[in-house]
Amino acid sequence: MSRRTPPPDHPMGALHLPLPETATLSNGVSVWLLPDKRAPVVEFRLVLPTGGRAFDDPEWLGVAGATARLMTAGTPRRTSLQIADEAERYGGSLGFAANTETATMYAHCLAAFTEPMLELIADVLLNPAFPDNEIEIDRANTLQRLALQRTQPDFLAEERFRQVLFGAHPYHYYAPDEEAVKRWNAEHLHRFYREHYCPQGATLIVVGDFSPKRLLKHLEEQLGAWQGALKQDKLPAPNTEPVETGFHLVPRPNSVQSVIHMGTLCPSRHSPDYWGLLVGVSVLGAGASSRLFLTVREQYGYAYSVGAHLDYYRRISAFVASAQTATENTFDAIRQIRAEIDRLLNEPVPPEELQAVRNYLIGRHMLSWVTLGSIANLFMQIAIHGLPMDYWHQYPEQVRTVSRESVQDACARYLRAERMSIVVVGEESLRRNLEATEDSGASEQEG
Amino acid sequence: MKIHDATIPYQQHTLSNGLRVILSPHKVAPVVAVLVMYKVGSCNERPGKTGFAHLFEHMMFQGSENVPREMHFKYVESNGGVLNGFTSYDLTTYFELLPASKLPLGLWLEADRMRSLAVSQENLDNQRAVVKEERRLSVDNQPYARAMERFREIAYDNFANQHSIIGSMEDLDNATLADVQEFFKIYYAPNNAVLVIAGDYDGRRVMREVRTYFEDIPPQPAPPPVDCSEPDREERREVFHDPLASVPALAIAWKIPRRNTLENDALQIAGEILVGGRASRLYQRLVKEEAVAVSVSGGAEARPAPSLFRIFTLHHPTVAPERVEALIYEEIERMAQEGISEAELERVRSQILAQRWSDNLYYGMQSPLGRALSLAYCALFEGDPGEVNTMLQRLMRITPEQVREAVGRYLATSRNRTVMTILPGASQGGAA
Repeated sequence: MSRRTPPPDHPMGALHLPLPETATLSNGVSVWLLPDKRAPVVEFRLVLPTGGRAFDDPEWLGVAGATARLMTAGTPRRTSLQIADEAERYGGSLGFAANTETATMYAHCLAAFTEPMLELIADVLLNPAFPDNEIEIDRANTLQRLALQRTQPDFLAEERFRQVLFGAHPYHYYAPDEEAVKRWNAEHLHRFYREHYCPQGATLIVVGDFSPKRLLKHLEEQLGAWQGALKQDKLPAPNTEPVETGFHLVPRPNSVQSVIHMGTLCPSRHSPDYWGLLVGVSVLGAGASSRLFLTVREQYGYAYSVGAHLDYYRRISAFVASAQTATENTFDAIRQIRAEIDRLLNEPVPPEELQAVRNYLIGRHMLSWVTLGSIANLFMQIAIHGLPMDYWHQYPEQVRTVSRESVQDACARYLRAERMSIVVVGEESLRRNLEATEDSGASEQEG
Repeated sequence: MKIHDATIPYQQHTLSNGLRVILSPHKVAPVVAVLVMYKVGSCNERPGKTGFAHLFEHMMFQGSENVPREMHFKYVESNGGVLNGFTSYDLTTYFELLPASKLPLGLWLEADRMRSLAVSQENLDNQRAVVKEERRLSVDNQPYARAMERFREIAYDNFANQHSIIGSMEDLDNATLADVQEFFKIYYAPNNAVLVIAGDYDGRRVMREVRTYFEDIPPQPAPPPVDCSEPDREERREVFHDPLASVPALAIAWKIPRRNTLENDALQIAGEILVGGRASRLYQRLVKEEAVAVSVSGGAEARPAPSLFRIFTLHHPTVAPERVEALIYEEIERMAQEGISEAELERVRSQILAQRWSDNLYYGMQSPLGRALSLAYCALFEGDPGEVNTMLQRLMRITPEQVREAVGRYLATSRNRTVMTILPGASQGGAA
């Protein structure tokens, strides 16, 4: 065996993936069960399709988030301490989060405690009390957390980025409104809970070491009493073009580095253009052999962390290329990112590079089937985005069959320079240069 | 609860050049982890050379005799794998997580760079720039991060433990290509490393492949020993003005014994009960009952060297830091006097077992990488990969009385304590 050349290649083994057993509880909750004994652990995920920030009343931004946080703040039978103590006693945790559109519950426990954990989940989910003292503590801490977040450059970048992409569309809601935080009370949380935490449309995913038949019986016993009519709330269709393109500076005093978010709106995972776009964006910025990593970082040393990815919403996605670079390199880094995006639009991806990226995506996908929690998260994605149940089973084949033409077509359609919004968080002194760069950028486009 | 279920199986071999090889079968998915851990970290650095171990870790991706620059990334990712490396106070680790059929590729890549690093001045300059951006990203541009770097400098007394892993900008500027080559020769030898293969591999051929790639890499003289010992001392206090912060914070730490001692084990349990999660005593007291704090975190470090028991809390600007500090000491004193309950201990045991089974890629047993990391660590620092299993048994046997004693001796005292008050904004009269 020569050590001069890499070992002979062997094809990747195929992965035999299970599909969940599905059932519907008497109150309409969809249940997806994936029994799997690789670890003595059970993972629970619950998806509530309208529990997210986008369904907040615009006058009361942040109520969705507060409802999620305070779901574990007490029930008539348990204090917040008892809830936390029990979940930890079961070798687990239990919490809710408000995302852009959905609210999700994450819970897990050691398999030996599956039934008491389920009883705890049911009590919390069906009987939240939103006690006044807990609301007051949460209010005070939320205000401090907001102050903290406004010192963190990544938070500031994401907040502005959503504003420039979505304008007034509720997808832009990212952080609570301070005035609303100061005013909301238990009634606001109870109302949001009544209207959005309903069995109808909810999906419960359970993955791990359990017996499906027995679990299903317990689910019906514990969750069957959960009732309520979902408020028929429809979001307006999101805009498909970014509301504001061009440069946007978020001044942050004392910055020694600029955080750059460059991106635009793209179609959702349901679009026929999606797979070409996914592969193109991955060529550009997924992993350590991507173009952005090899140029912006390895060739120029502008950034430690640089990459590109798609953020998914139910009806749209957002392309984001991001980097953090020393203040003085801000414009060189932006130019370099733009140049790499343009190369993707103007030249077909060489066949070897395309094959390498397909393998990378398929291999990384395989790794997400290694642990119970990440398997649960894969199916949660299906529930959140309304994807076909065999979406992940088809994923390797979809990626394998993407052609270089479809990559270039999709990139040329969606990643054109004039569709890009660029947010920079950094020194105020960058503003003058930003405006100058914007001018030269525009003239380059015309020329 | 059955602990034996959580035992990690392994076999150990030692090659003629001193490389320890640990195999751990785990066939839940067609995936294999290849991990090499070298016994060198920031604690081996000398004054004027801070950040070097970590800068060197970057250089290990910059090319070796048969793997040109950039190709390490490309070989792994184009074969469906992921890779990375990290540096800590005590060690440096490199790993690939690969489709099972690609195991020989991982072995070839790791052997090539253990045998023959091939780096140029240009690559060094480039990675120096990248590491400076990493420093800006993780320290200089973040609230509280500079404070935490300074905190470590005053919490410890021995230079080996005091300085940060990322190092200072000035020292990074002074690193030379000759330094890189010397560091490689001293520390990156097979006899100063452990190789672990965990996951789905063919047990009949794996050692043959390992020998083919690694056995003829020459050993080196043992690296110079490093003295990490810490003297006892009186309390040390400092105020830190953080212009990037908006919420005041308080950091407290005590020096405590290394891992794999009864004292450190008992303080791990104490840490879980004091600050591990929402049912913990300090969270309940500071955040809920007294409502003085926004968050509290910390616990006992488990280094193979003198460690810190740390508490970090963000508190409300209207509350004096002295009040928060007094409440923390009150809870510690209560634990030192009254001990802990069996119910609390049961909760912590469940949590320890659950952390063991966690799906975290780096420390959970569900992940082949998690298994590989634990085995390598225990082999390198305790001379026994099986310590990963006995550690769990040890922790499960800790009694309330042992916790009470350890808290009384190491935490309920101002001895070896460091307290830092972090105030938002620039210092009075300081630069804006």
